[in-house]
Amino acid sequence: MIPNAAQNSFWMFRYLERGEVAARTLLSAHLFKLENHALSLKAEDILLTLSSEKSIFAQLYPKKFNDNELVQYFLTWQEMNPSSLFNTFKNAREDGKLIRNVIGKMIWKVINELYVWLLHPEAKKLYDIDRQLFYQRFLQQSQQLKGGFYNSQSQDFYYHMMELGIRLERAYQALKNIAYLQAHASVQAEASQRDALGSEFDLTRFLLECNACTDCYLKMNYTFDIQACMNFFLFEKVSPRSLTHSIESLSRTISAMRDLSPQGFPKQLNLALKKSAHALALLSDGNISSKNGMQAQHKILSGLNAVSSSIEATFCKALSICKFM
Amino acid sequence: MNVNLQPSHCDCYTGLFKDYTPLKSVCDEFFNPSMEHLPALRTVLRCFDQMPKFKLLELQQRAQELFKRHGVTFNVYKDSEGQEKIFPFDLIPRVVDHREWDMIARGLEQRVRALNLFLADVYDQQLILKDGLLPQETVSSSQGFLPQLIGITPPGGIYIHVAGIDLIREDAHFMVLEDNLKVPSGVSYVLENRHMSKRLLPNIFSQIPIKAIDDYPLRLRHALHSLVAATGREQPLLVLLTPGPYNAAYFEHAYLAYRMGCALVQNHDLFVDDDKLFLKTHQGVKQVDILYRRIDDEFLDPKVFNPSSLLGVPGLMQAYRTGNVILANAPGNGVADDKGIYPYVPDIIRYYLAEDPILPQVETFSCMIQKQREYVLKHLSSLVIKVVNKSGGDGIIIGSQASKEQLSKVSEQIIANPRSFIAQPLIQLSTCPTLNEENITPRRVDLRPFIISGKSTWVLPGGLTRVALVKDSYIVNSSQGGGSKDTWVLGPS
Repeated sequence: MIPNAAQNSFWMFRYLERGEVAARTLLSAHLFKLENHALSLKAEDILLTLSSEKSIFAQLYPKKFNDNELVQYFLTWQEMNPSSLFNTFKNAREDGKLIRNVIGKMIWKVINELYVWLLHPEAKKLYDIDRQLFYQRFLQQSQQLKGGFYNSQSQDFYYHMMELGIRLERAYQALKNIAYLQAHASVQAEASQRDALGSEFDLTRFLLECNACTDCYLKMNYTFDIQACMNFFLFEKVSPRSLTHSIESLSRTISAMRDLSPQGFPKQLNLALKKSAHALALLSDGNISSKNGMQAQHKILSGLNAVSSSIEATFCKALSICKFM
Repeated sequence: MNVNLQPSHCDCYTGLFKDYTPLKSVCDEFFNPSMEHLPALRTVLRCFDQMPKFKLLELQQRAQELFKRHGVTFNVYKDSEGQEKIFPFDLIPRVVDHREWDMIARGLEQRVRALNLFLADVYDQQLILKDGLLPQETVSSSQGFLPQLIGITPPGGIYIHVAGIDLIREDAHFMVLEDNLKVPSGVSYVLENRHMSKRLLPNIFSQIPIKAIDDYPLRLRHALHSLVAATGREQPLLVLLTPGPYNAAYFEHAYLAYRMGCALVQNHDLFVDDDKLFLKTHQGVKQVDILYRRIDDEFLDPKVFNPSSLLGVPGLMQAYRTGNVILANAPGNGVADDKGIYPYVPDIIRYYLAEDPILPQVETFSCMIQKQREYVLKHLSSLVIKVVNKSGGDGIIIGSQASKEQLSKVSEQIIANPRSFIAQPLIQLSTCPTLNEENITPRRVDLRPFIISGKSTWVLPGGLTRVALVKDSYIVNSSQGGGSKDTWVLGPS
């Protein structure tokens, strides 16, 4: 494995996953906003919170939190926003450019064409006249990229690095959703008079749409309330977007990498993931929002952060060895 | 109870509506004869009026292409080619103000509540018949009345889980034309039409508050699940039973199953054992708690109803009788939406609810009653004659448009079998601006809102607006050349 290429593989697919969720979130928000939903009143706040870039928005556009168009623009095009759709795909393409030989012709072509199209005025025009189609195009391309990845890549170290990128990003996303639901639950508890199928219903529906989880959620017979939705994002093994599923997949991927390269495999990566897995095991339906539950979630997050930094450290170590050689 | 919604604004139209002229003496959904409109419609009208005609034509063309591409179709049995067809969609919506809609929703909820109580009574003590409000024969001779079901009460006492009630507007007021309480269809087109409008007209949507309808499938699922909750089963299994891909509404069955997150099944996927309904799956058999059936009563169970039915599940009615499965809608509802019962619905509302009907309905003559029959036979040429057991516009004779031979034939039929016919005055269905080839012209419309009942009742804010695309036509049915429009209920801004 060439450390640089491994790093690019990891980050390219992490950006792609991030971009896909962002595109789906923006599309769902756009569709919710068009109709008069209870949720549409605070769609901008949800979007900014989920993107984790609220502070940058506040710096760029003070007191403009209710400007839906501006929020959409910020999350789609703004180059100062590291998580904007434009930047995520741009970064994915930058990483892809460096590993063209690894990802193959088809994957490179799709990501490059998407980037070239984004630079073209046609993309902005489509954004203005048919936003639904604009975001759908991202989703289609993203699906195509992932399809190409799973169908054509040989299951070597690079493949596992890409897989790590996708799974880690999903784990972070699940944590983000749970945190948002938790914050909303405390507000909801105060407003006891609300219709049971009101904003709580809309919020769970919205988050599920953003994560392409509605089908799975319905099939597994969950109800549309915040607690059930938190359980889903935490524990549902069938859903590829749940924390449990993501951590189990990460664990399987790390095992596969260890099998491929027992000597060069960093122990701390496995230890870091185990930290998250242990913390996850401490959580249950009943204690998610309790003090213990919150502590467990912090531990999961720090475990994931440790996985991420451990991956980075591995690359750096490998790179420095290469340099000295 | 009427909401005062008098047109008060008159704008000067220089664009799309420049040459639009409402029909004389016919209520128009947008304008009165002086081209005045409701203040609430101002933004909608301005947006459309400012749209260049080529743009509207282009969007209209795109809508048809997208429907084709997405496979939003229906099957026409009569079509010799048996092809799937696109339900023609007109991009100019029908718009209803929220104050008027609130009144409609209350009226619909009231009507469904009363009809549900009627069904509960008719299949139990039949007090309404004993009290003489309804002639016994009207119920007993109804094809929709299933005596096999007497004494069976469905969970929660809910018979009508989904209702589609056809409304028309005459003289500025909505009134009920027909109740559909067996397996009302069309809601998938309501949802797809909205999807298309949002896709093609996002700028208009962003300017006006239009009430959301996209949660209908989840609302229906929630309502059906709420009825199982009482039985204590925590993970109820809901499946949708379709007659198969050749059914006219198969697209809708597949669409709803997907959006409700339930399995789409045919009869061979199900069986009854020990009075319980089971679904065959790869993980083994699973007990079905709720069957959202989209097949008619007579085909449900060959052991009880039509013995030659190949669509039903033998033993299903026994499972239903023992309370082991919820059927939505409950079998036997046909008696409540029988056209012969329709004239009595206002009395039914008063009888069970001690309330006056909020929504009026069309004056109807029952040919079963001698005096009314005589009137009908005398005035055939000015009435609309309907066959009680037919739907989809089949068998309708519009007296003023019928030939002498047709009238004489129908007269003989009425005398021979009076129970099978009702008559109504010809209602001037309201019109709505509709794009026809390159012009915007008034075309007649009706409206089918959908009402869901579980533990509580919910009325979908909107509905299927069907439009007669042919000039001077009153027939809006899809099987007879009708099209559809999106229905926008404007929320308070």
